[in-house]
Amino acid sequence: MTALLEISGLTISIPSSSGDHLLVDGVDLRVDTGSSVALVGESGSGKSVTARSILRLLPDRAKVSGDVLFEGSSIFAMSNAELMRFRQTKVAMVFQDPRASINPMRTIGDFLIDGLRAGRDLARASAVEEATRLLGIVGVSRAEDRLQQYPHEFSGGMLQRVMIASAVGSGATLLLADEPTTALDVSIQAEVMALLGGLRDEFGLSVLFITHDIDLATSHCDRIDVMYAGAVVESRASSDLVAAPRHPYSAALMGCRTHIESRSARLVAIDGAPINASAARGRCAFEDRCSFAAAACSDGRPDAMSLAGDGYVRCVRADEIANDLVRLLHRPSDELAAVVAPIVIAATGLRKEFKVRGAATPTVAVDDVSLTLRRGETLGIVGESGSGKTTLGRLLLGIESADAGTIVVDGALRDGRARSAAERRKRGRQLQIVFQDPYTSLDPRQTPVSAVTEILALHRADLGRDGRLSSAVRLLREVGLDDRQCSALPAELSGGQRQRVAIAKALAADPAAIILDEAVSGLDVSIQAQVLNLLADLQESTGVAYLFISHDLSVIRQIAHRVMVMRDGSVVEEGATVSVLTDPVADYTKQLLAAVPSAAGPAA
Amino acid sequence: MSKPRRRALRLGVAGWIAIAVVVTAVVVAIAAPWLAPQLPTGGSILEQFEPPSVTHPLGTDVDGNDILSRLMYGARPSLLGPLLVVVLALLIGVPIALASAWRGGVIDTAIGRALDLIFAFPTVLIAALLVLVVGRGLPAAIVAISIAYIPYTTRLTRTMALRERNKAYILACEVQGLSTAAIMFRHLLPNISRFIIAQATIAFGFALIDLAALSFIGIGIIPPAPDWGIMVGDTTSIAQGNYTGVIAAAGCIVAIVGAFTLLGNRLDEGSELK
Repeated sequence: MTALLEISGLTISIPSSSGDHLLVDGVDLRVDTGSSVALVGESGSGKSVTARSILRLLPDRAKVSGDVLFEGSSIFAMSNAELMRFRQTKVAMVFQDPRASINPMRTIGDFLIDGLRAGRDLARASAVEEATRLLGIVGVSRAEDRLQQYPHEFSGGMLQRVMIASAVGSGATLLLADEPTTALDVSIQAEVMALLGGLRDEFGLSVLFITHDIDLATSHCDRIDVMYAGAVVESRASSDLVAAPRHPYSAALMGCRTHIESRSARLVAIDGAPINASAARGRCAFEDRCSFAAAACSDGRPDAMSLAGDGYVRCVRADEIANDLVRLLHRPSDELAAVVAPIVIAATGLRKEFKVRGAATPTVAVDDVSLTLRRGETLGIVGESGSGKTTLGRLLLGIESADAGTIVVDGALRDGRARSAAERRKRGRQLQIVFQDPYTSLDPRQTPVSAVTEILALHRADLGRDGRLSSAVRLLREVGLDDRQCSALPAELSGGQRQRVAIAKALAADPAAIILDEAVSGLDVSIQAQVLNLLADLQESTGVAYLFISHDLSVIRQIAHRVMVMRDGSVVEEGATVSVLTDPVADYTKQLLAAVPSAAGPAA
Repeated sequence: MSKPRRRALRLGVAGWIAIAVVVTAVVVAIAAPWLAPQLPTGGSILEQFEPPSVTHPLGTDVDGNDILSRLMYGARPSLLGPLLVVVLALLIGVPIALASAWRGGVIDTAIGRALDLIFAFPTVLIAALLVLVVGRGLPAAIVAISIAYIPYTTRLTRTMALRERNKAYILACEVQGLSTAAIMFRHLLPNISRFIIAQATIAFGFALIDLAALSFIGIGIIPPAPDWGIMVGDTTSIAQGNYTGVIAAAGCIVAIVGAFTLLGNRLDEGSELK
């Protein structure tokens, strides 16, 4: 087969004040004519950047080396006119959210016809005919009528079909599908994937499919390239990979899909920031999180090792651990779940100083702190007041901007306060907070229902007025409020009830993670337990991740999977909660534990 | 769903009296043409300084005008003037205060310095300068006092907004993704509005005094138009030993200012949340 697309040694970095930020580190990738290739990786692995580079859709300041060849000619050598033509006629892209990539003010017909006529001379009448035909191909019934309709009259799945129709209509030979089904229901997901497969067979359309879902990839694509920290760690034919993954990361991704959602008792500690390609230079990027890591792993970046059946793996121990990996796959463990759940928050090297009037040196509130939080996980941050734990939370929220370090929340880099209303709204869906004091954290003039409705109006405009009201009531019942309390003013509610309202408000935006800043510290012990149980239940049903900031070790013990102990702005110890609290290594942790009144001892 | 209820306002007997005073003054001001026994101006000099009688319950002044009628008509500029002053000072001061409290940093400092500058000019000086530009009369006096009051309303609102801004619920709104305008107008402003109204009520009293003072020194309302300030400043009457008009007008000013100050304080006490 001939190579339609060939990427070789692609390296992309973005210059920043703290040196170049490496996004893609020497990626080789090949898509043959009529084949479908999946680029699989977590958010931040560089898969989307790689896909965008094929259309030269990179920021101007990005530094790019290596080459992207399409039908044998380099994309980077194209003139602007050639590039424009290339984008119009050769390659089409389908995005995760079809609604965001279509003008809501124009009809579906206008959208398709514009696309059809952009690349070539085509009379409007024949364009209409062609658009009707295309909608038929992608499985939209009553195509003629639907051309007159507007995007809001289409479901997400239907709209994604329209995007695919437009791609087919452009005459493109390569379709870049960037998480095209992530926003869709599972059943619709399968239909869209089947449609893409059918188009490949029928029209010889090659597909580069970008996804985080390795099962979806292996069941619909010919080849899989697994990306980690900006590099392809394993490149295999789907069938080979399913039979025997050779990289620990691929195995981890495959092994425990079903376990991600379940709350596991024990999660392994993950040090450093696994998604940062810059930090992983000169060694195996996966080393920190790999249970098979050995000394050889930090000795240079692993070279690609060829495998039987036209594939390769970047792991120096690939041969030694091949059998272990296969065994692991059939006996998925909690440890694998911890490695595989998508990263929600990744922070690296955070530092924050506060200038103190009159003092010669500034106070360092947060000093070189890195953390990773995964979906469905609770990370406890313990420390006494002044340890910097609250400042850390404010840095992650973007209320305070860090003096050094990077923060990635739900795949988006954030640096200080949101710069636009749209960004602020977007951030609302990424990370929420519940504060310590339930007496100041609610607007005294707002009832719980109106507070939650207001947030739903912001993030769930699709629900409509009545839908939002019923959703708000449902959410408030879920956190344990009755009808009367739903429409009472905060002043009429108890501290525990108010904290439930705050939790409902945080959940209303359906965020990826919630920071709980001493959220139960102000409550009576019995209420505390109720709220902790509620939090655990909600995590189980929604998969939301918690960053649980507390000075109270017994609370941390109940709720956190992993724990990070902070003192004077730095992390003194971190690891699985059980091991840190039963077998602490750092003296400071021992001191903290000794100070906790035990059940056997005299009551505090 | 029930509407949010206000915190109970404890008026007390004094508070109710104050409200009665204010309501009476407003009613009289509005209905002056029907209530007043005579016209406030155009009296005959021949009827100068008549003692109280059935036709002139409070007697007449130096120009022979009925004092009671002048008091009644005088309530109009004396109440409308301070009202306009307060509204103007709030319309300009509150947005500046919100911007200052919200943005902080350089903007806050710059606004603070600008306010200091205005603060440095006495009200009378501002009024005198304005009179030079736009001429004598009520508008110049109102604008002058409004300008002088902007630093006052801005400072107080800023302090309150800053306090409220640092409360967790405002931060929560920001984290929720609400736009700045939504946070300001749906959450921050309503929660400090009672305080702002309290301060405005107190400022109303001060504005009444300041406007009267400008009339008194001759750069406010132009005589013989009826106005309490002018009536207090009626030196001819005083020189001739007739104090009725002066005392009556001063009494009205004291009563209104007292009533507004008291109501303002009551509102302010209630605006402190627990």
